[in-house]
Amino acid sequence: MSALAYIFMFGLMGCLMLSVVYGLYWAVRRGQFSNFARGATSIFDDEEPQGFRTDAFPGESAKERKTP
Amino acid sequence: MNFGPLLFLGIFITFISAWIGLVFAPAASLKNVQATVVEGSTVANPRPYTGQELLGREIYQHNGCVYCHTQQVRGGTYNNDLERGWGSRRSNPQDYIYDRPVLLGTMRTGPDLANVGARLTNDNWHFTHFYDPQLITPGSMMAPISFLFELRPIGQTPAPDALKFNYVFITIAGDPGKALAELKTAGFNLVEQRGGRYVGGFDPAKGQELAKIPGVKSVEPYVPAGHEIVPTEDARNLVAYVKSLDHSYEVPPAANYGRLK
Amino acid sequence: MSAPAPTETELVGDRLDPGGIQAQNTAQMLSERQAIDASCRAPVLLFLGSSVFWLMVGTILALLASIKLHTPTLHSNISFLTFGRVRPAHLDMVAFGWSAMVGLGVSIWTVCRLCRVPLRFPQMIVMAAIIWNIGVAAGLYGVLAGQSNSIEWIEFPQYATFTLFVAFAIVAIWTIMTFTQRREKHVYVSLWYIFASMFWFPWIYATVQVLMNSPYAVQGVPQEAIHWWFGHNTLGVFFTPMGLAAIYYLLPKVIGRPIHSYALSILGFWSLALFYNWAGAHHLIAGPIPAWLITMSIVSSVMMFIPVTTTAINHHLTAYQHLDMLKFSPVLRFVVFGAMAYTLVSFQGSMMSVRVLNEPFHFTHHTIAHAHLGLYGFYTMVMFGAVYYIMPRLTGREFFSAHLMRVHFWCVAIGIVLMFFTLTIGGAIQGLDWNQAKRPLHDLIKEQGFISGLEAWFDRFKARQDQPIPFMTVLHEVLPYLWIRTFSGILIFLGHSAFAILVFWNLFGGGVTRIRTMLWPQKVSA
Ligand code: HEC
Ligand code: HEM
Repeated sequence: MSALAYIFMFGLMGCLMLSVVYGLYWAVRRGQFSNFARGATSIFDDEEPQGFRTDAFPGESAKERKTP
Repeated sequence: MNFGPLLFLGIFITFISAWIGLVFAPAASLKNVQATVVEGSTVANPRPYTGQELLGREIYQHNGCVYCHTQQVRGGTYNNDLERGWGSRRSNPQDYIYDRPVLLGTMRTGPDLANVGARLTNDNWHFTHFYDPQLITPGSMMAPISFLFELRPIGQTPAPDALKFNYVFITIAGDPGKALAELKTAGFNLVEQRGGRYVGGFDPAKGQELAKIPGVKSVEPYVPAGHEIVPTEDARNLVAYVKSLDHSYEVPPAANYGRLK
Repeated sequence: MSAPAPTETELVGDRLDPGGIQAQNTAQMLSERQAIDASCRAPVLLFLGSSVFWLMVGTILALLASIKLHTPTLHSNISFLTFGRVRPAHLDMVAFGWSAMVGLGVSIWTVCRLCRVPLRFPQMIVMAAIIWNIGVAAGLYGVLAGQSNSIEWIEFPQYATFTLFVAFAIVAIWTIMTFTQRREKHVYVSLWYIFASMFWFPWIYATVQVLMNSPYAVQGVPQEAIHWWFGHNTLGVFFTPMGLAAIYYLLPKVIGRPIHSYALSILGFWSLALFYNWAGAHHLIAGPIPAWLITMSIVSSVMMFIPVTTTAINHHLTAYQHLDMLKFSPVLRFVVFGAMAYTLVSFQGSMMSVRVLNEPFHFTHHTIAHAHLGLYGFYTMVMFGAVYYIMPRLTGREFFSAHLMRVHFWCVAIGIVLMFFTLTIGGAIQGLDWNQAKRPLHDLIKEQGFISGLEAWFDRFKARQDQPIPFMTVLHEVLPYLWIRTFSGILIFLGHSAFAILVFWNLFGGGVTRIRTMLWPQKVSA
């Protein structure tokens, strides 16, 4: 196997590893791992808040199907 | 989670190590696998492919034989590879040093081919099998590759490698059982039924008799009269490759880590 | 049932209704999300529309391949319809045409949503979609025309491979650019998964191309270690993360409750990254490669229990309290089905990597069943759900028929379950009859009835026989299962046709313009 291929592959691997380590460093510094409870709710907003469904078959409003 | 960063860094390093383990290490450790010479012999095994075999290998790749055929005789305890006669020993890394790419395969709709060249050596068998596998093995699920052959009128002289076989289609009126029994005594060797007709081999010397048997409506030759089926160059190359698949040579004990039969 | 056009009062009524959200000052938030969806419109729809087209191509090829396995003489004189070409073409179409394109489309939209920025540089994405389509079309041509290299998963000739790589690089670069401009501080777990596939896939793809399919290819069997490291990672670090990212976003979003345990989801992600990578060599068990490599892979395959269990707990506990919604939400149906299949397929995979099970079952239809449960039962089902969620929000139109959606769901759900069980059972019989049994199961059952036949079959297992059951006998024993697979394929084909009609109808202007279910969330009691 050609040395060139190894150089290429190791170069690529090195870059990946660096980017990954940087990503981790970044994530830790920005407190990505510090408050999971808030993180989990970051997908909701005022307009689609928790407790509201956002999908139903077409023509069937989810509202009419409220669970008792 | 204060130990988080440490944990995550560890995981990432392991991810990289997987690359080293699964890509780099095998490549490095098996880099020096070479052809070997067994004591008392002068031939190095395996031998490199010839040019024709390499061309045939391309046909093998292009037509996806690998999706039905493996090329590895397994070791291990829970399988019957050796008992099926697919090889005299487990496949070794050495067997593949000239393969680019290595075509181990993942599916055995058909038998393993690692040593098919040792089992089946007849060109005409292979040509017939590739043209119409069901003629050779009735009920075979192998996909025919008849498009690698040419059906053409016989020219001045017949092509030397035209398929040599004698098959006919027979249509039978009424009760087939009796007619078939008589056909059998007349040398008709039934292969299978195809769309209402019976196809089978026959003895050319007694060819005339078949049509006279009561119940037989018509007898048509498999190859239309005055025609011949000629393998193209691709088909010839493919057969050369298939016949070259023979890893039944011995390997030195040090290189052989497989279960022996 | 196509919905009647909403009247003015209906719309207004809706708008005023849910929980008085309107009363709050949401005008700005509303326009933000609308703006995001609107910005995704052309680029993401291009990805989704193309993927559905390739799905149909892949499905037709699948049917052909399936039929040819039990009726090999069909059209056998046409070179490009031979099994050896149709089979790789099917795999490549569903993998790179459908799965990759739909995954990228959904991921692009998810990235915009999670970063809370409208899609910037839409030209990049449109370009990537066009280039990707060219790559897939060229690859399809190459494989059918007989230029395939027969390396499973990367059969495409080099010109197509390179084209795909370029398109992928564009999407990856775009992802980074979007990420740097994001307005949401927290990086949601789905984003981690999406980044993983964006970075890992080019890496594994480049590795395998250079080391197997180039002048610098390595020599001999290490190629196969690399091949399956790639093959397995395509599933593990490309498709699986995109599928899980979609589940982690859609499940809580549709239900309206956060994920059960967010910390677990993060743990699941990192342990997946840890173990999946090592698992590749379990495709080569008992093959001609060093045993330590295989053992390593078996260990990490079994270790996959950890990420899978964490993910399973999370998915199922999140969905569990809201199962009533399955009746009303098409998206949830598909996503929950997919989540269940993920759990199942992963546990099955861990079991299958153990030597005593792998050796007999390897090279049989058992493996094919597993592949379909994974890429179809899990990934494809989740992506169906994602398309149903995203498309109306981008086009501004509801799908025109709830009936067809139900037809789609039931056809594919029954189809894949049927396919999975037939091939699993058929493959197991095939493998055990090849390798361990003394007499074919079907013969024993015929002679002694079902129960005692089965007993006799298990009784006679031992590791090796001098006289294995003839190869062709076992081959014919499997044929009925292959026929049933074709039948399940027809069901799946019907389901896909319903799906394609819905998608293209919606894309080209059919369907009712209602914004009710899409923009006005409904309060869940409890
Ligand atoms: C659809 C699956 C399938 C494909 C594709 C296929 N085969 Fe086969 N092959 C079989 C089956 C099943 C058998 C066993 C029955 C028979 O002899 O036909 C077989 C048998 C063989 C045999 C005889 C092996 C023996 O030990 O008897 C050879 C040689 C062979 N195939 C070569 C090829 C080549 C070369 C190709 C590619 C052009 C190919 N096969 C493609 C299914 C397939
Ligand atoms: C109409 C439905 C489908 C049918 C009938 C079908 C049929 C087949 C057939 C016949 C094979 C070849 C198996 C062999 O070599 O023995 C195959 C392989 C495969 N299919 Fe499908 N397929 C269908 C849908 C799909 C879909 C939608 C996907 C994924 C999104 C998929 C993913 C795969 C994969 C990954 C393989 C390779 C399996 C392996 O080599 O282990 N299939 N399929």
